[in-house]
Amino acid sequence: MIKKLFAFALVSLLAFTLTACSTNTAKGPVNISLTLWDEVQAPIIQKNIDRFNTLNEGKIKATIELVPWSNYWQKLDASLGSAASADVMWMNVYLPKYVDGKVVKALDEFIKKDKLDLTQYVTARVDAFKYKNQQYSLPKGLDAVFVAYNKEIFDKYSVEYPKEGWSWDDMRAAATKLRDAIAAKSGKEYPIAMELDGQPSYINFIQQNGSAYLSADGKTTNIGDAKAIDAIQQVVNLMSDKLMAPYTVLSETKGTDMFVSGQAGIVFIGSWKASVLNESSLGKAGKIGLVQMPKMASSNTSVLGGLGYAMSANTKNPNEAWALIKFLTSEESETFEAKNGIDFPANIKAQAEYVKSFPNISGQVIANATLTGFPYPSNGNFEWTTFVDDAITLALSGKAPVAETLKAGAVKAQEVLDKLNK
Amino acid sequence: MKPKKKHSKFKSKDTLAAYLFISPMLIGIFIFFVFAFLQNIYFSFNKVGAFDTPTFVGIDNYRRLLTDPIFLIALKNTIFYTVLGVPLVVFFSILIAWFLNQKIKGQSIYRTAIFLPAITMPAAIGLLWRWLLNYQYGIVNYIIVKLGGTAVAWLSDTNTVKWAILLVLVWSMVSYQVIIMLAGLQGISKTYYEAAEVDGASKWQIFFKITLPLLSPTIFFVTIMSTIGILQIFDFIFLMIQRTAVAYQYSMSLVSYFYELAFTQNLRGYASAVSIVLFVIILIITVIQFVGQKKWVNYD
Repeated sequence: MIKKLFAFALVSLLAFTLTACSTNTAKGPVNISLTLWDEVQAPIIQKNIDRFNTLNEGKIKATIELVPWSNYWQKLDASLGSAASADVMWMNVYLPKYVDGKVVKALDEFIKKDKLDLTQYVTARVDAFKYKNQQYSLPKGLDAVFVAYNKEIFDKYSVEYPKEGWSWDDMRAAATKLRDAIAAKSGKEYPIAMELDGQPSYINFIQQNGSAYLSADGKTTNIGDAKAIDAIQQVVNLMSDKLMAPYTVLSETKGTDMFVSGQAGIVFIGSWKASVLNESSLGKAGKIGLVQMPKMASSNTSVLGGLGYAMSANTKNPNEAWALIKFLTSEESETFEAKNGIDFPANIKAQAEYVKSFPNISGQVIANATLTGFPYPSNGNFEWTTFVDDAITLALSGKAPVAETLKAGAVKAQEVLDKLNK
Repeated sequence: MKPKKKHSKFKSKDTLAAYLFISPMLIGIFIFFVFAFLQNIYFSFNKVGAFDTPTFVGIDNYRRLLTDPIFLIALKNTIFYTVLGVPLVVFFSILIAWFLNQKIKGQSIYRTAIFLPAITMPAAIGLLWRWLLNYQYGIVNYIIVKLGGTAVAWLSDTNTVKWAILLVLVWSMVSYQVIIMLAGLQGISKTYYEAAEVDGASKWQIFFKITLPLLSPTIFFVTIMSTIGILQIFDFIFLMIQRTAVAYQYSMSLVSYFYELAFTQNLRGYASAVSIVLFVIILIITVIQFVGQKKWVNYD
């Protein structure tokens, strides 16, 4: 028995030393991994990575770890904080959560060492990844929100196309004409459709009307004040005046789906759907027009989201990870992405190619929307956002009066915010 | 003497081998169930974010539950699904199993058709029904309108959404429980029926005085399993209702709320407390059912 135990211990000791040795090779390329979720973008990014690997032949080898959107954040959360996580990852507005969790690495030292010129990127996107005065990500792209309209429907019912610089009243006027013409011909289309998610809808309207979903300093939510209440009331009015599809329809069928199947004349839509519009049969027939959002009381500014590349705090290869991040956000790499229409680049010189990459829709409208946009309002905490979003949802549904509902939601959200900012 | 020694040595070697064989599974169960369960209890007394180490907060999470209106809504909805769902599942599974047990033409076709939902992925069921029940474009409303009625907003009208979820839930659960009920029915010895017929019993009398009592162990099993299953409902709500639609707030279950607290709001300690409360509810109900079985379940 003792003999057997001794033999077993000896063998395991040998096995352990062997494995320890094998991870210690100084020769051979360093392996780093990039994790991301979009299977549409992945093949294009893979080509950029192939170029990176060729340039760094023998020294660095990068691979992509594709995780579907539905699991991406769960998997990331589970793996960060251990050495098994990916070295580089896609990051968005959730950044503060990861900085506070101390699982992402600040990039300032690398930026300084390489004297990287940050003005090559859209400033708003660089700032979006600055938290507590440190830079945690280099920006990859940005998304903006705009309006798509169905030229077929406008032609069929003899209404003039929306013009750049139009106002909310202009939109109401056009939608009214559509509504009446559609009813006269017993059509089933709706003048306007909308997604119920905040980013392509109410986050914009609240800002455009002069209020804010979250204040610029990240400390207060203003959805309870008069201008925000008015913005939501205007949306409710669109539905009660039958200028927009009723809440029932919108909550069961996505606005984008309705639009590309010819069920809506106008839709508010985000640039992440640009390729959907471009590839749709409506788009291929040249029947989709784009225009910026109509102006409300203050402006027609669009919310700007966007992704960046961040580095794991526990990576064993920070220098190699930094090399990858710098490479993927360079003008050359982002130009390649733009040429393939997968993302509107945050790298300013690369943006021209994006506009050219959409034969069926006007990429220029998207580019213009990014010039007047405001950064996505988030402080990385989602406890307060649930109170705000649920209140706005309740108000939009018409089940409760707008003013009271928004004020009640604002109070509950502010309680959480105050605790966060104590 | 010698044979005895050999026998005991043989027995302990056998036992050791047995333990070695089941140890991988035991280790897995210990880590992923027992340890996770105990850790869940521990978390419920702490504040746990996505990455922080848990900070002890005592019974704060449980106190918060008492005044959380959303928790109460989720609890109310879960009770609705269970109180209505379990009797419906039991009733229909008995009815359909009895029907499938008769000698009729095409019996195998009926059995296959009824068993299909049991072997279909919940994701497929949820997504299909989501389109069937679509207000504007769904087949169900199309048929209703063709027959002269008005379309119902099954999944977005806050008054009907719970019923729509209940419908899909019962539909998919019955399919599985019918198999169990059918096995129970077929386990009833024919001699009982023959004796009853000889005594001149009517079909109703046979059903209520012979079939049901002899089926009661199976009914008991189906009741317990469907209660436990329905109390944990999550997937159909998640698949059929958009989070951003107001109908979600009127149909969410306790597990829906747990999911959102843990993974969207990153309040994992509070989420654990919700799951512990659900566990206690299931435990109490199951104990009551086990104690109550003496009153109506016949074990021969």
